[in-house]
Amino acid sequence: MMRPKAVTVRDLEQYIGETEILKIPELTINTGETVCIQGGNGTGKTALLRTLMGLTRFSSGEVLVLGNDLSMIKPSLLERLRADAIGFVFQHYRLVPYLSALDNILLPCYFSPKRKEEAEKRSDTAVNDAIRIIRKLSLKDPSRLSKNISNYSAGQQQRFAIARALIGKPELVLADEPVSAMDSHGKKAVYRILQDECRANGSTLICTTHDESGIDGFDRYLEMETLNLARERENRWSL
Amino acid sequence: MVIMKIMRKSLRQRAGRSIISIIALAFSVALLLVIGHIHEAVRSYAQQVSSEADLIVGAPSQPVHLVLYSLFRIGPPPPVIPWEIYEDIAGQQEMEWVTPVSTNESHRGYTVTGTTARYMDTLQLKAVNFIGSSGKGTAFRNDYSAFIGAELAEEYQYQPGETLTIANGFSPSLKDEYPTPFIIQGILTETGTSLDNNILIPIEGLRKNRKTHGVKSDYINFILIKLKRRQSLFAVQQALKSKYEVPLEVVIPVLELEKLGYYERVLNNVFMAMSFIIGLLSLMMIFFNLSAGFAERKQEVELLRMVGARPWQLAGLTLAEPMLHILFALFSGVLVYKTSTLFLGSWIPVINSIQLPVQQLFWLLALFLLGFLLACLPAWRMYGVSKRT
Repeated sequence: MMRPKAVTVRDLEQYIGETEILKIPELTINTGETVCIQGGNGTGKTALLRTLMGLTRFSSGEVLVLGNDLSMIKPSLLERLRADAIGFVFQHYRLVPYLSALDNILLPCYFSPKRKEEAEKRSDTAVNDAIRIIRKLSLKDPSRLSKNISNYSAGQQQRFAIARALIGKPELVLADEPVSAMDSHGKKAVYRILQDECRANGSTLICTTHDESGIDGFDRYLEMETLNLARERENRWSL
Repeated sequence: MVIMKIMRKSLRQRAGRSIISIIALAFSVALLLVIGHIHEAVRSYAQQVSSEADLIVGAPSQPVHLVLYSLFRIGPPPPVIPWEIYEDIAGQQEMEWVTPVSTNESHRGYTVTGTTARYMDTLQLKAVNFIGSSGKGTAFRNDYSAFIGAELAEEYQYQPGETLTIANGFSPSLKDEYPTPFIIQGILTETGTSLDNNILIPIEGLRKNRKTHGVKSDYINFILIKLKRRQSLFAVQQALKSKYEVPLEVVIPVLELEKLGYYERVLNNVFMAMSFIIGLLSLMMIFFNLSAGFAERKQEVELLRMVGARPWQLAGLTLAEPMLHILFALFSGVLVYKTSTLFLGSWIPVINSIQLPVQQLFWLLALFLLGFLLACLPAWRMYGVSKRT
C-alpha cells in the first residue's frame, strides 16, 4: 500500500529579485518519514523549509504540505495548518524573550486547541507534556522553567525551541539546523529525541544540517547540492 | 487571555525603555492641569473679589497698583487721603455702601488694617476660633476687637481673648504706641496673601485711639465703594475725580483687572502651550520607541504567527502597549495634579476654592487621541506585516 505523502514538491522555483534561490524538480516525503537534508551554507536549506512553512512565496511549481496546495491555500487555512499541524525549529531558535521557558514551549498550545488537546491526551496537562519533553531533552531540573528565557544558555534555548516544535503532536516537524548550538554528545541525543518523538507520534520529520558526520537514525538523507538545481545563487559560499 | 499574558510580560520587558516618556507625559499632564487650575482659581477669586466693589478711591497712583493693593494686598500701600473725603462720599445718595481702609499702624512691625466688617466680607475673609461674634464670624464685636492673620497667630501663638497694642507707623518708638489695646476676637483663615500677617481692627476704634494719642490728622489709605446702580458707575467716577480739591484716583476694579487679565491669560497660554509641547514630545518618544523596536518585533511576529496568532491580535498587542503607557501616564498625571493642588491648597487657599473646569479635561482627551493616532501607525504596520507572514 502506498504511504500518503506529507510533502510533495514539483518543479519548485523561487526567486529573490533576479536571483534564483530554489529550483527543485521533485521532492516527495512520506508521512511518518524522518528525513535529513544536508548541505553547506547558502545551499537553500532554510529557504526550502520556509517555503514548506508557507512563510515565503514561491515563483512557480507545486508544493503540497499535508495534502494542502500552498499556492492555492487561503491565508486563514494556512494559519490553521501551521498552528495545528506543523512544529518548527528556527535556525536561531526564535524564542519570545520576555516569556518564561515554559511559556515559550507552551506557545503552540496557547493558540491551537488541537495541539493543546493532544498534549493533554498524552500527559494529562499541557504543562506536564512540556516537562516530559524537556526531561527527555536532558534538562535536569524542569522546575527552573519559570525563569525568563534570557537566563539560559544557547544550547538550552535550542532545546526549548525543539520542545516547542514537538509539543501537541504536530503532523509535520520542520527543524532548521536544530542542534547548531550543541556539543557533539548533545547533538546525537537531540537528533535521537526528535526521531523518537516523531516516530512515536507518527509525525514526519524534516531536519536540515550542515554537519556531515554523526547524524544517525534518519530514514533518508538528502543532499541539498543535488536536490536544489539553482546554480546561480548569489549567496552561495565558495570556499 | 494568552494575548493579555503576552502583553503583560511584554510591557514589563519594555517598561525600562518607556519609563522616561511615561514620566515626561505624566509630568506634562500634571503641569497642564495645575496651570489650568491655578489660572481658573485666580481668575475666579479675582472676579469674585473685584465684583464686590464698584469703585476704589485713593491718592493718585497707578490704577492697577491701587486695585492690587486694596483687593489683594500686593505691593506697597498707596499714600493717605483725608478722612473727610470718606465721610463726604459715604453721605452721597448713589452709594450702597462705602468702606474706609487704613494701613498706617503696626503691631510688632506687622500691618494693622483699620476698616469695617464690610471690607472683610469683600475680601471673603473668614475667621476661626472666634469669640462672641455672629454671621460669618468676621463682624467686629466692639470698637476694640481685632482679627489676626493666620501666620501671625501661629508665629506668636496668639489666642482669642489676648490683647494687642498697636502703634503709629512701622518703626515706632514707645511714644508712638496707642494707649488702648485691642482684644483678639478671632483668627482669620489662611488666604495665602500678605493678609495672613495682618491685624484687622475696626476703623472707629483706631480713630478713637489716634485721637486719644494725639494724632492730629485723620487719614485713610483707600475707600471701597458699592453703588446702588451700576449704570451710574462712570458718572460717579468722573464726579468723584473732579469734586475734591485733593487730587484723587478713582478706579473701576473690574476694568483694571481685565487689563491685567489679558497679560495673565497670555502667560497662562504660554505655560499651557509649553506643557502641551512636553506632552507631544513624550508621545513622540513613545512612538519612536515603538518604531525602534519594530525590527525586533518582526521576529516575534513571525514566531507568533507560526503558532497561530491572528494579525488583529498582534496589531492589538502593538496598539495596546503604547495606549496602556499613555493611560498610565494620564492617570499618574492626574494623581500628581491632585496631590500638588492639595499641597498648593494648604499654601494658597484660593486654590481650594474651585473644582477643575471640565474644559481642562479636553487637554487630556486631546493628548489621549493624539497618542491613539500615533499608536495606530505602528499597529497598522504590524497588521500589514502579520498579514503578509
